Amino acid sequence: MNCRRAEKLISRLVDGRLEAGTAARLEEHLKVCPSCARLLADYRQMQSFMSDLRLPGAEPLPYFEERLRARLRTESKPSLWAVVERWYAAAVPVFLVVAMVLVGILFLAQPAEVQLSQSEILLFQEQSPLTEARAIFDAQKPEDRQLQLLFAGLDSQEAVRRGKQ
Amino acid sequence: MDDNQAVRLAQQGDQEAFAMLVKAYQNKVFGLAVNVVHNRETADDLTQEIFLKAYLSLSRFRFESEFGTWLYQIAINHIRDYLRKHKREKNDLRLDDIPEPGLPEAEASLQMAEQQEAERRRRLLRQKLEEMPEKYRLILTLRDIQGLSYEEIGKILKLSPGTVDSRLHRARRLLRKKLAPVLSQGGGQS
Repeated sequence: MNCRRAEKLISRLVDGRLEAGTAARLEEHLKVCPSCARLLADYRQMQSFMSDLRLPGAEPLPYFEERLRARLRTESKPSLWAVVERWYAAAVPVFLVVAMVLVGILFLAQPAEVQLSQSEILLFQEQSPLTEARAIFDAQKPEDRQLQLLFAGLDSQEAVRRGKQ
Repeated sequence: MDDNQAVRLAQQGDQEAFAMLVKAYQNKVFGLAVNVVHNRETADDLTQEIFLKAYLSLSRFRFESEFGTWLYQIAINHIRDYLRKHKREKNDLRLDDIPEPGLPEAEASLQMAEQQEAERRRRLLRQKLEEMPEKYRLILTLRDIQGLSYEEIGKILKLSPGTVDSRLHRARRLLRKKLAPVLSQGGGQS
């Protein structure tokens, strides 16, 4: 066994974590290696010093439990800001969904563009829808009737255009 | 009532059940804290904060480990945070600063000289431990002062037993170098 290996094993030996066979081989090495034997003695002394730092009766300062109860009462309650923050976090997505639904409803509920009939257009223009028709029917010559129908058609298209405006 | 029963009741809001757990573990947690920070007031504050943290995260305890191990994990993490935040501060009132009750003049004897020597050694050891990297200081505290097993240390620090073994080995080698002047065999030379 070399010293590097022995050094690792010595740390386990002082913790009582070495198997009997390995411990025996280490003991053989310690008999012939003063350096490793000194290491073992130092580790044991260090452990003794460390155990000297133990405070077996170490207790917290007086009224520990009472003080802790008081802190638990105050500090385990959520603060006002925490409550607001939690509600705010929940409220934002809810608000967005509601807003989207309202926008959708408003969009769908918008009335479609009203298409006015020819007669309604004439009525809005305070004209009788029957006046032109009667003039057409009263025309004697077929050419005059056709021309009047043609112009009436053009007029009606103009009226539709104006009605849209 | 065992720990798990108390934890279940505490999770349901039973304050008395949590008080039982506090009573059972307060000295252990305080002992750990005082051995790391070496100041009773600071250790007391840390212990309060550790139990407060444990209470607030009790709902996350899933009974996958023992309650004591889980509490030690919280304690170690909290103490680590404290050490990192107060790395440069050396103004704490130390245990050494608390005057020991004096012995009568007549008893100022060999016993007193031995006590003074032991106190000097403890003071030096605490100082040397404080100079060590946090990971070595914690593992030495858990093993050599708190007396925890490798398995318990592994669970608390979330290390494999092999890593616990090698880290302890490195920590001891470093501490031996630092304590060379007081080790009777003249350690730290090899």
